[in-house]
Amino acid sequence: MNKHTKIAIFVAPFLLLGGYIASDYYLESLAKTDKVFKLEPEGHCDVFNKKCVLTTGEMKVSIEQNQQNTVINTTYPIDEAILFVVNSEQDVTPYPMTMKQTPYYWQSETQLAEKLANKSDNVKLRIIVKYQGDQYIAQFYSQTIR
Amino acid sequence: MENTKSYWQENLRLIFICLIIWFVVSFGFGLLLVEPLNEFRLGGYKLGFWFAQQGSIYTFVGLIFWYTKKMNELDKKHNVEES
Repeated sequence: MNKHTKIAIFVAPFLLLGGYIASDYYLESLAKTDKVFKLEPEGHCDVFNKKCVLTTGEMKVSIEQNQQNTVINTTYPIDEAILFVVNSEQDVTPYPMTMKQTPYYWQSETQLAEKLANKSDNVKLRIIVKYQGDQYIAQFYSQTIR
Repeated sequence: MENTKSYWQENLRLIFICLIIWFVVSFGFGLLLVEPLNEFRLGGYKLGFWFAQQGSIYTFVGLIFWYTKKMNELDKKHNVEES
């Protein structure tokens, strides 16, 4: 083994370690940037009949109407949730939700019960859920099917 | 003196090429371009993933032998090879 082989074999592990450390820093800096994920409805969304689940990856958001309250249940302990109701004139009414005992359940008093009480009633909704700096957003329709 | 300077310049050029290849396969293929490379598959694995896990290491080992070969050639060219 000549001197060049010895030098190359000696230097290579340091470059390898340097690469791993640099990669780690790079990935850590990427992870710190806030991201926005789009939630999609799982099938038909019927908030009034408690059948509305939005999902992206491991995050699932279930939305249901409980008398005058709209309640959401998430798979992760979220930090904030805001529900928006969009009327036919495209005016938006925001409903900031409050935590219901645990950060997995959030609720807000809304007019959805009246808007969705009858079969075929439908409402355009938007939601923003914040979890560890990331935002999960969706625009969807809820239609009462029975 | 001129011969020594030329030897050192060519040595630096080889080191620089090695470092560029090192950066491209580890950072480039393993991180920055991982998503487009993952569109392709190698032996059942996504190519970007393969580079991050194995490909870059194979390349590093290959670089050791390539650098040695080129340096031996350089030694011969400048009559400073080991006896």
